[in-house]
Amino acid sequence: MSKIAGIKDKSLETYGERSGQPTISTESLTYPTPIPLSTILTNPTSLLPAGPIEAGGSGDRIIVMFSGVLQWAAGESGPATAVAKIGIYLDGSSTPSYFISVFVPATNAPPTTPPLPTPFSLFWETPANGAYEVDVKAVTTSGACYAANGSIVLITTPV
Amino acid sequence: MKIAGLKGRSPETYPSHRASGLVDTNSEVYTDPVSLTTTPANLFGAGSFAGTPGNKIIVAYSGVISASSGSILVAISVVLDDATTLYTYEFEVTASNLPLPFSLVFETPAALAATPDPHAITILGSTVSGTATVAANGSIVLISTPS
Repeated sequence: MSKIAGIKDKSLETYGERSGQPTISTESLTYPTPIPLSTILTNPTSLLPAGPIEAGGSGDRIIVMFSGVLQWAAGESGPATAVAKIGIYLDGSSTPSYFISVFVPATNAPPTTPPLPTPFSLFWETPANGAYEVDVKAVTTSGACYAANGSIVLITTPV
Repeated sequence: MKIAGLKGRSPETYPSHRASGLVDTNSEVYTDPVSLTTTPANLFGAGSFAGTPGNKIIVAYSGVISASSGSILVAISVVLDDATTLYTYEFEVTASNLPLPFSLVFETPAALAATPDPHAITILGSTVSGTATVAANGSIVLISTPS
């Protein structure tokens, strides 16, 4: 379709299909079930059991927000301390684009008492435009623990 | 003026500037560890983040305390224009329970004033006593929304 006189920068060529929504788009999910974390540093466990989430596009950046807790699973014997490394992984990479480390205390470990959840959350934005498969993975660098009550929100913003 | 054949895409649909309904984002990961003492330290070295007058700014930060001189209190603040503390929260750091993740979310309560242009938004950290270290990989996301 040709450009249209009198609407410079407003023709259809200027605006892609998604430009009709000059706002953000979002995706989210929660997963309450405890997930045992891998202790193999080269094989972190995904905290998104349904698989990575596809988001973004050539003109978009993606804000990743994730919150959850680390704990012993109900009924699990313990106690023992652990340190977990939680990261954001893009497109199946084995290297996290961003990560945090979390100490999980041993106190109140089941089965004698309920698990003592250690909360964590992380915020990060892709540094460049593009479409990505976003995954959040965790691995223990010492000890063992579970991740539970994970919640992820992806906000895709046009740049 | 509406244009035939452009239902839903006429100039009326598209304002002249993206500021209508569009957010702007800014983000940074700071890869150097930051030492915290009783003197507030910038969690991004000497850097601050620009805030557009007339907009509200959502600040989301996540990081980790990786070292501490003992059981101490750490304060993290969002500061505007190196002068006004907009938000502060404190948490206890115990040396035996590290690394300790922390995060904050905050939105400026009103649109930023017309001056200065741009505003400077800074994230500061300090201790009530003792020392602590914010590990590398502090991450900030700022979302600027027209109000």
